[in-house]
Amino acid sequence: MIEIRGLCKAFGVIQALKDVNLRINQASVRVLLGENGAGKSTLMKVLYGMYAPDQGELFFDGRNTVLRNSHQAIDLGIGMVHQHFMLVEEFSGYENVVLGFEPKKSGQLDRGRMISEVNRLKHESGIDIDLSRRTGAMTVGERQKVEILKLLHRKSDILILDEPTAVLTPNETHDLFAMIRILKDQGKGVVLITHKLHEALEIADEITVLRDGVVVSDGIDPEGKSREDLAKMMVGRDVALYSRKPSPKVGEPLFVCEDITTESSGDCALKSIHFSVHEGEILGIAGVDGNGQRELVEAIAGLRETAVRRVFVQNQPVPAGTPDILKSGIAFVFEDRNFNGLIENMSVNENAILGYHRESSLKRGFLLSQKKTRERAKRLIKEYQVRTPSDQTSVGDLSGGNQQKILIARALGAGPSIAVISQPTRGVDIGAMEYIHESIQLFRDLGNAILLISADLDEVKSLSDRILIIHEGEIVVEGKPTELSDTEIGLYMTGSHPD
Amino acid sequence: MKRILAVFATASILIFSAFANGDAAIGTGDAGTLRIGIILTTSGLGDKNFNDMAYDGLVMAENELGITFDYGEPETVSDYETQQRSFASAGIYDLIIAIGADQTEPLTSVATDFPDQSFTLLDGSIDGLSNVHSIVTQFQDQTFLTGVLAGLMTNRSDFPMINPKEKRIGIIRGLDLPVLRNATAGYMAGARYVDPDVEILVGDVGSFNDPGKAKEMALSMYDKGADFIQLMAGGSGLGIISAAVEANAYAFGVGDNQNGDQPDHIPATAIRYVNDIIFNDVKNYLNGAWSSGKDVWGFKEAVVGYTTENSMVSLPEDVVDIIEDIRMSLVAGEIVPPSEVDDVDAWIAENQYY
Amino acid sequence: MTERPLASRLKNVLIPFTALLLALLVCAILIRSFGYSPLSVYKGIIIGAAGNMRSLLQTLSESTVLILTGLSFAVAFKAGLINIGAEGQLYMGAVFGSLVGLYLPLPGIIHKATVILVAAAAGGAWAALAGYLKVKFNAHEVITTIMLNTIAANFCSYLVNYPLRASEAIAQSDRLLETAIIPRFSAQSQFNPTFFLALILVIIVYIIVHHTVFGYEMRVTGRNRNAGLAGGINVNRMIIASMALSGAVAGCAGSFHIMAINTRLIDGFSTGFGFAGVAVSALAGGNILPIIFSGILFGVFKNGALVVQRISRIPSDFIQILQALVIIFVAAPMMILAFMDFVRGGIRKITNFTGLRKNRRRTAP
Ligand SMILES: Nc1ncnc2c1ncn2[C@@H]1O[C@H](COP(=O)(O)OP(=O)(O)O)[C@@H](O)[C@H]1O
Ligand SMILES: [Mg+2]
Repeated sequence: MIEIRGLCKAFGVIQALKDVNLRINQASVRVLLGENGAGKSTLMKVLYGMYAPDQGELFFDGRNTVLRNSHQAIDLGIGMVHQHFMLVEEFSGYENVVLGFEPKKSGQLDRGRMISEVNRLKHESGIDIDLSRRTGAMTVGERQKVEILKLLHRKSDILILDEPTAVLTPNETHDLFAMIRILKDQGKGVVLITHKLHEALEIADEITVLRDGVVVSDGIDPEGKSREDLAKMMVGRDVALYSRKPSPKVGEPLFVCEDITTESSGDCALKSIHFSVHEGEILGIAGVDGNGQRELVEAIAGLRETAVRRVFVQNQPVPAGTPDILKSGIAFVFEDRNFNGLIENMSVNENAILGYHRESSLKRGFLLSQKKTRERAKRLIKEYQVRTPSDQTSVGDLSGGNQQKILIARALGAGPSIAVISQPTRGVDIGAMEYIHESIQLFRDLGNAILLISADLDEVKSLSDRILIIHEGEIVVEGKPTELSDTEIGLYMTGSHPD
Repeated sequence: MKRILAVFATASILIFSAFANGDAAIGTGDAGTLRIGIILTTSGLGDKNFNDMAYDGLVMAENELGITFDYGEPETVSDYETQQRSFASAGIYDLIIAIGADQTEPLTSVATDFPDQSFTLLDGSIDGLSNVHSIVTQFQDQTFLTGVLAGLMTNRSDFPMINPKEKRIGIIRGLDLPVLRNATAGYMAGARYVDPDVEILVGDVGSFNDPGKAKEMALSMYDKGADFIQLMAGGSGLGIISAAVEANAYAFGVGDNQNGDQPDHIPATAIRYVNDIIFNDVKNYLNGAWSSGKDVWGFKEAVVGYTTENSMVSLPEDVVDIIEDIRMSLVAGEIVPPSEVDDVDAWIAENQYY
Repeated sequence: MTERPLASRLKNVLIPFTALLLALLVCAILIRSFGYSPLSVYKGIIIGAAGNMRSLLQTLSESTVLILTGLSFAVAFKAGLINIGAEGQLYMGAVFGSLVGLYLPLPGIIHKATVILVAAAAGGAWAALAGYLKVKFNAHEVITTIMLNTIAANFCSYLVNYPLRASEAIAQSDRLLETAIIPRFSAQSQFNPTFFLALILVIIVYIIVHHTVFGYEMRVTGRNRNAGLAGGINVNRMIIASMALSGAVAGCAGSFHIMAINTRLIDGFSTGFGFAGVAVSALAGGNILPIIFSGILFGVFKNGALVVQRISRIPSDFIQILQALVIIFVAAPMMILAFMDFVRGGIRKITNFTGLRKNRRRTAP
């Protein structure tokens, strides 16, 4: 059991933690909830001996302790999985698990013992993974399992997991939670950081909410709490989460996809996908991640080879090259902003024109006008309430929410009539999420068509006027969000039919 | 606080030790001592040959004649002119020496711009300037005696490393340059002077810096029955020596004495005493005997020759005697080796040892 | 890794500057430990590089080719490409430029311009070839450009050894036609108008990279290829085009050198101008305008080395060590940052102690 009393920690003028008190018990899951920058990671790093507190005391099993480094924390039975994994990619899973605490025989790594020890741990904790592979070749979810096994191998009693679910698919999250429950039953204390509300409600025994470095409520029993309750504590005001606002007027079909078929090349093949999106309509595509959503968006955007591609805007076929597609009035927000959405080390204004940088309105003579580029960026920053010190700030320095707003602003602000938006609020905090949802709805209300793809079922249900469910590259059902129950949707998403 | 003190302490120690006893080596020469500048070639010091020998010549002059000297190592051909000009405009050098044929062109313009400055050019010639002494050496003199040695030995059956059947020897050059053609003529003439039937294989590597290719060429020559190969290939020569070791055959060094490099495989070197050339030129300058114009120096002037020093190959008594005999005739000027390969046949018809 | 954001502008200046200082210091220790006097070396560099008008102008002349090869590397680098091939592209520019300079009689200014354009085209094409191989066969440009370097240098060598050979004694071509030669300002130094052409090229390239759509697409390609694709940029074409631009600059460098310095094509006339460009560009922190300064600094080293050696008989290898140290320290910004942190930590303790410390603010979130 650990107790923290009166903890303060500042970085320069930033007071990251103010007078924090916290208790962590064995055989229990504590969820630390808070917006980005609330101080969650800092608090845990103090606990793990990485940062020295400015003030305050730590008690381990009742003894006042000063931690000088994380080795000491490890010795005391504290283990932490960081937001960014700390694995040696070239090593196998086994080697990573025992790294730093290797079983040795005459000074050499004892491979036999390493494998049997780790396999025993795997068995006890119900973690199912093939550890003989190079970690570099593992999925994110698998790497996380390696990290957790590493802590178990070090005999940690308190496990700290910093935003473990941020990088996981819903299925992987599900597995992770199952694992956490087993560990809890074995008597381990688990601290889990997240800013996803439903996860907190699902796994927590107790919830602690941090806001601006202060514990705003502690020891919350998730029983009987709603997401709105938690959101209010996190943000400090009422938030309208997932409020449904139906379209004022659905018009003619604007964006028609008669057939998109792709051949599989290691990923999910699309099988004759067809749909149409009308003016003033949001068409949502729900599905478990990895069932062709990404492929569909890339096929529409001309970034992926297709076997058949019959796509029309206002009955005109859409050309196949990305520049022409953008010109035809379709705007895109891709699912992974770090992969192909933003250029991290370029400024906000240069990011805000990507895809539209050839427009003559940005030019002066044959030069790209910096003045006009900046004006456009400033307008978007203002319209979409992007919080950035200036338009010249490098995008990588902004929070995830503001980065996402830039993508939305870039797409919707370019004056398209159709927007294909994928995972609009992934890794975004609640305030920004609310705002992004409003922007999307506003865009629709102006008579534009939106294709919305999200793994967040609540998001799809609350925003969409119509829903398609995709499974293994096929549309399996279409319906109104009000007509489909959650269980029905869940079944369709996993490929079974409710009837 | 301790750390900052440490920083300052270390920094000041470093700076102090770096600058304090900065007894500048600038201006080591006293007034009155002769001061020489030399511009080396782009191969620079450490070539164990041309540049190092020239440098040694000046060190010798420094020790024995009491001169001082400074040197420049150009990196690229375009640096020759800069260096020459830098030396000349310093105005403190009594004599500036430039070595290597490729310094000829830049020196022509620099020497014109500094008519009061004396220059010596080795391996190139500049006409019509009264402040330049040009020295070229007779390459045919340099290789004549190694040719003789090869000609005498190529069909001997008492040497296991020699194939007594064919009378075949070789020479491998870096490039097909005029001076190296002279050397080829001397080598051929030397061999055929003692045995007109000797066949001489000639190969050009195409570069002075490609030991790998030179080695391939040498191996194939040895394969064809060549017993000796004369090196004439600068840095590529290393490849020939390693081929000699691999094929268990002989090679002749060139330039500085290379016999010690592979004493069992290099019986002799066609030597060129660049150090002596430089030393003597400086000495002449000191004695007032230096004059502009062109000098062509050879065996008689003892700037080129032949040496077996440091080699472990013991030559038969009779061979040594013959070589010694021929050397005397060369020094006496009784034999004048031909300079062109085309003239070798005619020369052989007139000159025969036996 | 520190999570503290440093004022990045300041950092850009401070890193090369600190690197230079550290290099000077470390090199001084080395020089000292070999029994020479660092003072006379550094004094020699200054005298040699700027002791009088002649040396100063010579320094600028030496820096011309370095500025351009540095620029060449930087351009490709902006597009995320590592073009180690400036050496070969420079040779190709020199070869084709000198063919025009030798055999195509044209009136003065037109002749010179044609030589330069042909050289730029040749260098550009040579580099574009590496770009093409990357796009088509996914061959890494570091490997291909290094191989193309060897081919180009040997091609030049072949030409001056055989078909173009003019002198029996030396592997070099004839002197270019007078109309193709760029005269020097005076006989005193090799300083000539190509220095100013180089400066103009830096500015033109800067404008292309930072103020045109082409440059924008190039930079996007360099930093996030996938974002480029999603933004409708033909990334493959940008890779080839950026290589071509980079090679064209190196080709220009080659033509400048033969037109103004050598006045003819000479075997092996470049001993690593192209590679020096990597260093020049590194010292400029991958930025374009500062290349002018880092190019001149390397010119200072180069020209200073002559005098150091001449007047102090200290091996000029020390200057090469100095240059290498500068690169090492620049290339290891983490090392410099750590050093700066270390010193700053010390300073902060002092200022804390004396109560002088100002509040340093982070940028707002
Ligand atoms: N090493 C650091 N240096 C300076 N500021 C930091 C550092 N680590 C965190 N911060 C700041 O402290 C605050 C809390 O950060 P953090 O604990 O990472 O938040 P969370 O994990 O809740 O998103 C933020 O304002 C962040 O910018
Ligand atoms: Mg965090």
